[in-house]
Amino acid sequence: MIRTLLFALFLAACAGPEVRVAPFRARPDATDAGDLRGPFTGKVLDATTRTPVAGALVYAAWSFQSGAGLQSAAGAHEFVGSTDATGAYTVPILAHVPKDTRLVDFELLVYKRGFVAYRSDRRFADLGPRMDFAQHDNQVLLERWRDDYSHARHLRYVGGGAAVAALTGWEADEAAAEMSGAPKRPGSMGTDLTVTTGRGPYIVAAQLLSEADIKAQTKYDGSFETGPLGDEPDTTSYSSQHFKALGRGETYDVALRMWRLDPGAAQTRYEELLGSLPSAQENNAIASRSLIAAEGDIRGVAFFDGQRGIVVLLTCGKNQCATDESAAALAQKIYDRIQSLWATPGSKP
Amino acid sequence: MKRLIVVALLAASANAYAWEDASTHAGLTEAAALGSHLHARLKALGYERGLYEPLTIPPEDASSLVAALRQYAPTGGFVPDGRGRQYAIAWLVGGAVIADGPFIANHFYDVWTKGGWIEPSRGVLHGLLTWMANVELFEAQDSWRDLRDETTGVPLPERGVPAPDWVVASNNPLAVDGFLDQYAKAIRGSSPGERSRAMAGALVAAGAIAHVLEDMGSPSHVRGDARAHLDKLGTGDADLGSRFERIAAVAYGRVGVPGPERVITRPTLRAFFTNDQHDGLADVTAMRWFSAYTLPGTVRIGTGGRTVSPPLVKPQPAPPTRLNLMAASQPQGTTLDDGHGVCLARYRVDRGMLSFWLDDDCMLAEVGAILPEVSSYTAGVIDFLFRGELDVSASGGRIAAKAKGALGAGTLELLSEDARGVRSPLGGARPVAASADGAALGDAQLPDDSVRAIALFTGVDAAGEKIVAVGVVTVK
Repeated sequence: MIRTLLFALFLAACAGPEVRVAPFRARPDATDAGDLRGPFTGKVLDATTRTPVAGALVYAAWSFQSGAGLQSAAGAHEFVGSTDATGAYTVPILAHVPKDTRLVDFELLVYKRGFVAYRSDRRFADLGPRMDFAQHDNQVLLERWRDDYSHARHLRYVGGGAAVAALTGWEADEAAAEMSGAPKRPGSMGTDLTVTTGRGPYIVAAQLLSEADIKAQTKYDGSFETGPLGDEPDTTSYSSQHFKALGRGETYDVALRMWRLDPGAAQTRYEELLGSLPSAQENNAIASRSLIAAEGDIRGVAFFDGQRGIVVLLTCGKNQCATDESAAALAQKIYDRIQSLWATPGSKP
Repeated sequence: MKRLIVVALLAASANAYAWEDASTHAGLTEAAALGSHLHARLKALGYERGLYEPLTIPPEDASSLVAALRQYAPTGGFVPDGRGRQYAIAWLVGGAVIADGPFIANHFYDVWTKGGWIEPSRGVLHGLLTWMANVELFEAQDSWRDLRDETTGVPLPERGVPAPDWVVASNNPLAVDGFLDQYAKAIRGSSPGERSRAMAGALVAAGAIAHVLEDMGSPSHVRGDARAHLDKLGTGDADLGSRFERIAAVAYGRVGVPGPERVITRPTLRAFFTNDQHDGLADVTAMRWFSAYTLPGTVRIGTGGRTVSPPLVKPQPAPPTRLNLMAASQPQGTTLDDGHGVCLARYRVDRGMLSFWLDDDCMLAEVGAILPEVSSYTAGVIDFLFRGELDVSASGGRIAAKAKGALGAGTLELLSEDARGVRSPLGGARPVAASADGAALGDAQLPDDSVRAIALFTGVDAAGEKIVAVGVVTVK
């Protein structure tokens, strides 16, 4: 009887031709189904301490299908974001469903090094269906990683996507070693569970520059794939954002690295950049101190914001940033955004 | 609880004409790869990170492949990045995901008729219009076909190539020949980039072959039950598919698909599908499980005794002649199990008539028993495709290759690799006669700057199956 009622309920909800009924609830305490289109909101907490997890990757994907009878996959739409200082996330509503397709699925992934990832559709522990995901006010409890967990299993659970792959690249090494029978390395997951400096709002690189900012400056008409860089994982003191030009070489790429440290450590970091970046020349045009650099087909601009303890390094391929001025303008845009996100006495709003 | 979850999710999931591509096929192939010896094999070939070796197919080199993969959400883990790069295991899974495409009708095999997909009868009008579309007497046959599809519902292929034939068919772009071609190129390619691209291509083809085999684990695919793929699943007229396969998708998704319990070995590729010992996956599935429309028929219970013989659509599985008719007389009926507690079907006696059916719980139990078996066969076929090995030694400035396991006739190529990763042939390909295990196949002088020595055999194995066998050794 219950089954019949449930089935009838879902069939009734299937009336819309373009959007399938969501397999999750609208809110944790609601019985009505959510909307696959979103928006989605929630909070990410450390399952052990119940404290917010800031800077976790929030990766969402919508899937489309087309065709009648013999249906086929018809594309996907991604959203990449991160949790703020309170652990909150917002995934904006899907703007539109592409013509002649139907929206059939939505998946949300939350990833933070040091924790077991979270998927909206499956649990990690037993890989069974997750039934507690909700569209609004969703609560994500991230379990701390244990050394007896399998990285191969975790990578399978996490899945993919450029942003995710950039963050989980190190885990592939662990998985490869595990598959080869190498003994587990205790602590290999790292524990990025250190507290922040406690100063100012939590800012991550993804907030500081957008695809639109770049296109407005460089007049580039192509598309980017965005996500963290693969060189270092995001931590509370470091984050990155890579704008990888689709179908183009690296000379069209833009990358942004941001360190957020105590002011003294930030100055040291900046001076390391000054000493190590090829052809670095200080011009102090942005923030407290700034420099320009170049190597081959890549331009670099770095600046140090002493008041906030922030160091930013922007690299931009010469086919994207034709001049040093173009790269510097992007760096200035980043600094403007930092100032708007973190107002300090005397800074412009 | 799981039952309710599955039922609740059913209406929200995608169509199913086969195991669903991005969930069940992806999960089966991924789990099988992790349970196979592919990781070790890739490492032996020089890919240090094995299944997690990043491999690149530049999108401009395989635009249709990359475009096909990009139709799926990247969260599945098998969509390459903007430069066409992803892990080796992801290429394999990607191949399994895209194998349906226009070839979906070639993923069926009736073990009793040895035939493939045949479009099921869909009424008199459909039959008439199909006939008119196929008889030259009537002009504008395509118009009749269009009219049929418009008036009688979803267009379906009329026939398909039997699955065991499809994986070796010359018109299948992801058949075994394509796999072997790419695999050989992944060894003899000059630059690391060429080899990376070809290995990714080989893995895509291997994934596609695995997909076809995995479909042999679905009872309707191997019992000539095309009708099971036309069950109405949602409210839309076009929302048709196999309820059994949809249950698999919603119950296990991609990440929940169980891994192999063992790795199946068979002497030939076809034997993984079907063979005279009836232990190919198609044979095992067809003979062990019912599908929705190949259940025992309804029969009147006689008054003289408790033995019954319902008519069978397929010879196996045959229900026992002594059924629990007392329990079957209850309104909810009772369960016919496989002797190990797994539901085969439900049956009920109502007004003297014995009838059989499959409900969601029963199908869920079947799926739970079938998937590990399918995964075991998939792991086996992955190992089979990459089975060829050679013993290679490099000493005294020479490379020498020996057969590792008996080989049939073929050709041997010897190569050296320098510190930049560039491989160069050491002379041309040389013909090799059938060789016993351990037999010397050939040798050559190695250049002084060699860091690796490689031997590549292309030909057939002792069973006459096409094979690429490889040996790689580091030069001291």
